Amino acid sequence: MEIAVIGLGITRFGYFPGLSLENLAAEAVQKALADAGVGPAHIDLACSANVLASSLQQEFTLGQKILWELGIKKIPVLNLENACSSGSSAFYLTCLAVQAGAAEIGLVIGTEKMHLPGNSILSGAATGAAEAQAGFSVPALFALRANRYMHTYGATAADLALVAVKNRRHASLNPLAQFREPITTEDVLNSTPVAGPLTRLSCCPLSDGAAAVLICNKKRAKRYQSRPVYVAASVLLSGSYTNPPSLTGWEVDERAAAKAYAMAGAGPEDLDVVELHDAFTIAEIMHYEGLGLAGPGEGVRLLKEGATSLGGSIPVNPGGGLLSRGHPLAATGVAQIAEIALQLRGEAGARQVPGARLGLAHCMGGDLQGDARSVTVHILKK
Amino acid sequence: MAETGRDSLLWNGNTETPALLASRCRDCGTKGFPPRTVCGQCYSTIQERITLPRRGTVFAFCRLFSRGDSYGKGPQTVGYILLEDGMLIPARLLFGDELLQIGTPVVLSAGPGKPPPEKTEQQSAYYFVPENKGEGRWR
Repeated sequence: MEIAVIGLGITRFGYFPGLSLENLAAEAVQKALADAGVGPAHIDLACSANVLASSLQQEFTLGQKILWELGIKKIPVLNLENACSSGSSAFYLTCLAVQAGAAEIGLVIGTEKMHLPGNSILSGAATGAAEAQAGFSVPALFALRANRYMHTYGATAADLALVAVKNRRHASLNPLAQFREPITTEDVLNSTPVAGPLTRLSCCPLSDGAAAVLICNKKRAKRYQSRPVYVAASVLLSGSYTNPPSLTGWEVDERAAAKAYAMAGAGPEDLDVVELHDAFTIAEIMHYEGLGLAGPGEGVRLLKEGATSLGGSIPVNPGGGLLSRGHPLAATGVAQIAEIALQLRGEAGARQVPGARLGLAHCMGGDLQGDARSVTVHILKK
Repeated sequence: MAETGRDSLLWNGNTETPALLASRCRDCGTKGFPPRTVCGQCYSTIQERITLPRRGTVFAFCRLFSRGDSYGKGPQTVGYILLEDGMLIPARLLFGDELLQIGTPVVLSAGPGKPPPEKTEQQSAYYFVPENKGEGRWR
């Protein structure tokens, strides 16, 4: 692709009852503008991602409201919802728009407030008719996969818990993360049961937060940013919904990763750092395998060897992941891309992966017929 | 315009002889549950209504402790059932813990559904139970 990331901004993720969607987004956008050294008047296209505001706050066209706060006007503004992959889908769409020449500088915003009355995201709201009839919740979808994975490959609940422990350790090095206090395997196993074998600490939290990135054509990137990061691959795909689905992986992961690796001319062995969609502990292990970081059933071994910890051969979720950085739904996909960009710029502070040159951000949104509704894979290079 | 996705289209509503409703593509044979009007494989719109086999085995299960869109107080059990024809479907399970394992033979049954909202009638719902009813404690 011909795209460069020239600015990024992330808010602290957490519980912010006093801050509105516009407050959160404005902070992220202002940070991104300052990072790129450009003013609001330079933005000539924006895509704003959000999942819940339309149902919980009767909001619509949130992007225009955010931009109005910042004085940004008279430009194309798109509002996008794609479940948990909304933010990364907005990035995908904005890359296409800038690549097509529709804009010089594109702004991608992901914003979410989840600490609100009536939030039914964890109930059956996000499942299909048969799942709702059965009484499924979102954690149930992942617990069932965990159950099948453990049965198939002999993994244990303690193995899965190691994902939460690792990502909390990483989050302790990220000042913007929602949870930074280290935890142990016992803490995870003994926390409140949610959907066996998953406990509260095996599940990502509810979070408020926002993230923003600025992109432009790579030929002009150095006008704005001395350390631009380049987009080597941008992929968005939906599920195939075949029956029976695989419960030990998501075939969309494999299709999206294969397409992204082909676009980037690289493979999983070339990656230095990965941000992936650890909404639940089991998901991180299955995404290792879907992205080709480990073979089928080898994900737990990769984790236990320490390969995916900071200091390992392929650190995964250095920012703390959804589990500990927090998961303000639409902000996540943008924050993951911003984290990879920071890592490639060498500006990730205490959680820096030394010498990182190639990084991957993976996001997954929704379940339909036992398959993922959408998966994004972005590969960024120095 | 065809209706899809409603609870009443998932099963026949008969608590004595419950049956799950599905579609089968006349052109390529692909089955759909819930029933479809367009084939997910070959896009054919010629879909016949069929019922799925009543028997299968537990493919995955979990105890659900958080209250979602649930069937009342206390943990619920949900799972994926691998039916005799190879279809994998999500379903509620009524099981004693000691019987619950992957591979256990199950059969479709039906009874009272979710607690009804005020001033509405109790609806019935389908679920799977162990094929061998003589064993274990029920919930």
